[in-house]
Amino acid sequence: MIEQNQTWPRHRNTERIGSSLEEWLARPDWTLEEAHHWLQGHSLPPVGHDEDAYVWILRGLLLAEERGEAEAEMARRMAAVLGERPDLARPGLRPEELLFNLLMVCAGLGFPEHLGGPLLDLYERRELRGDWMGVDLRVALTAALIPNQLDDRLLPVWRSMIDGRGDEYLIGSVAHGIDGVSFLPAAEPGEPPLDEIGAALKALSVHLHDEPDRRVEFKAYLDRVLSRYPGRPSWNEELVRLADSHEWPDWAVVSLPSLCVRLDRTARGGRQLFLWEIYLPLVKEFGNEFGFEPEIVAALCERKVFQLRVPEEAANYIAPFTTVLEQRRQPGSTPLPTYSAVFGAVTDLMSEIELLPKSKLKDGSKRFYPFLELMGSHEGDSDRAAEVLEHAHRKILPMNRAGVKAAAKTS
Amino acid sequence: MPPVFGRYLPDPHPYDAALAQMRAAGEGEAAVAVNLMHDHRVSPGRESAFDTMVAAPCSADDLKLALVHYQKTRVQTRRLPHYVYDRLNGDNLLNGRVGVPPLVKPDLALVRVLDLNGLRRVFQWGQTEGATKYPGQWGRTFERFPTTGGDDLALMDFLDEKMGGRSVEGFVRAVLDLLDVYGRVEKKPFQPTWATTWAAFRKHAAEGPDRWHQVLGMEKPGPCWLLLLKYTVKDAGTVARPTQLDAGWYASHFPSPPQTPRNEGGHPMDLSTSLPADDNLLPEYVHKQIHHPLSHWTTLAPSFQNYGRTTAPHLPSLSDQRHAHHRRLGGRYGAGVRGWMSSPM
Repeated sequence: MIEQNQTWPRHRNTERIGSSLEEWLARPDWTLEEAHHWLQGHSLPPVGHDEDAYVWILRGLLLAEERGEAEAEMARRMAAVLGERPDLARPGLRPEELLFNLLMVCAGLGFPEHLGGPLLDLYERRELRGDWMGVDLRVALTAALIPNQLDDRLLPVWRSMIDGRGDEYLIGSVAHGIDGVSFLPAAEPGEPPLDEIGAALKALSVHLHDEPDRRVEFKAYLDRVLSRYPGRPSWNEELVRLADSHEWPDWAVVSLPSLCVRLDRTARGGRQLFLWEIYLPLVKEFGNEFGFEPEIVAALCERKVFQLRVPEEAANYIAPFTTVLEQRRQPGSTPLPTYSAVFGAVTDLMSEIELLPKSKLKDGSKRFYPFLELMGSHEGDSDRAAEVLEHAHRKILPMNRAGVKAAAKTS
Repeated sequence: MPPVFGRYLPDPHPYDAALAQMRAAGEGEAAVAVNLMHDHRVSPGRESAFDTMVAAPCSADDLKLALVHYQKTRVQTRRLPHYVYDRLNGDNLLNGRVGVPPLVKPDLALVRVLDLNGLRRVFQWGQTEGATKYPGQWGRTFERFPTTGGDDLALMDFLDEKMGGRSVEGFVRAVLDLLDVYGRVEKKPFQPTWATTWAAFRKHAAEGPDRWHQVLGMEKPGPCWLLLLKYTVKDAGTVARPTQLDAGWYASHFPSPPQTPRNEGGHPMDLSTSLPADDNLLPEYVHKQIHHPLSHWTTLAPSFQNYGRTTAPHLPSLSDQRHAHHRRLGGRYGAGVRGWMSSPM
């Protein structure tokens, strides 16, 4: 049984710290001195000295029986410690260690309602000096400010970090700047600050402009932002709109997670899509074959992306094809830095598909699995799905490739 | 040989024969067997913990017994269920590691559906031991709870009266407080709590309680009363991607493929099959039972319906549901889904 397994020593210490913390946090008669002890590692079990006290404190809180309440109370107590102006009073046996752990605990908690004010006061006093084991305390202050922002007063700081200038007082990198913007409060709690994120990613694209692996880097930062707000189905639409409104460069546009984005059904019927320009001839050919006229509602991102209105059924045909092509477009699959190189790589994939023997299609080659499955699921008729697929393979994809090449030439 | 928990070693695996028996036994058993085969989210550490409960050599019944026992003793009734441990379940934790800054924005909104018909035991406790131990705490709310414990109709009559009347808010307040006292104060936990993000669920909120059940993969035999509760990651504590070991002996669970980013959690199997293949898949998370103040319920009103009674609509077969979900996963994540799980049954 797990409880008796001797190979899990960290559990025991972490659980013990969690229990001790809970006990301390439940006591209304706590003292600042006790808090100082925690922040210098004096209240920990014998865990050694490899890791800082804040790491153990945060680990212990993770396992607190009532984690949410324990973290909130911890934030209130850290606010009380901050309220004593520790940057000036320098409490404890090792004030630098205490300040470092204090700020890093705040950085791991993220309770702006308790910590936002005291941390901003600390920043504005500009009296924080020193380092702990070689790390400047202002690095810890930057980390603490990121998830504890009450408003957008620190936005200029984050912008200066993103564009590489840096703040005159705080110390932080591009990643700190991006995190700072990601954690800005929005109009609705829990919502991302979309406009600020759009502007930050534009600034990031300028910063990365000369990097050979800029698309990979850009995507990594973008994923970092998105990971703060998981389970948000509207991201793909919002990112295209941000890329358009903040005039991201074309190479950043083709680094987005999706350039075939279904929008909500329209009041006039049918379905609207955001679609990368390379897929336009595909849609037109589908329209020719199946009797519909795609309507261009708007052009975005300097005509690299189009907003189309198509019948619902047509959207179901288009999606399976773009699923395959979209995988090739991603920076992880095609790390090339320029728009035209990505455009070429996806066009090449169309050629590969065109040359694929028909027998492979019939076998349901893995590459075609999304086509077959998606069409089958919409049609409820595998013969019809096979017909559409075969037709697309024989006629539409080659024409699409020709159309794409022609479009590329004219542009 | 087939995989177990997404891994092909050892080969042969001690569960092979039992899984084959389960797959031949019936639709529900086959679904759980396929899930056990492909649920890569079960770490080797958790597999070891589970394996100590499996008889050797094991039959389908032994495997079932172990699954039920593991879920009941290591998840459902445990103060700290196995899924909150970094060492046991680190690959599934959304915010279970020290993150500076926090890995997910702490005020990210979650939503859960609380099935009041599933609280029979809690109501009984509030009517008897709870009423003695905490006199007057819930007024006379649970006094007339039916004494015929297993009677679905009597339970429904009780809930119809409480939820159909003018004092719904008072009843919900009492229920949430009772749950808190029963689960946390009296240390009778009921884990896990299943949740999704509000951003993903929002569009379904207006579709009414039947859809709430369906989109979250909650298979219930009859009509029931549901509450929607909205809260934050900060309130929830440690949030994890669920596994079949957390779902236990439950066939409407469906593992998410390896292509799903951890932060997206799992994907509940929509019980309706008449959906576009690329309709948004909801994220699925579990967390420990928490205290829900009334504000978690009232925050949704009046913009959104925050409670309702389901009608137990006719649902497609489990096989159809699983095939539809498998196709939707393929639509979202591409060809790799079939490489991971060639068939959902």
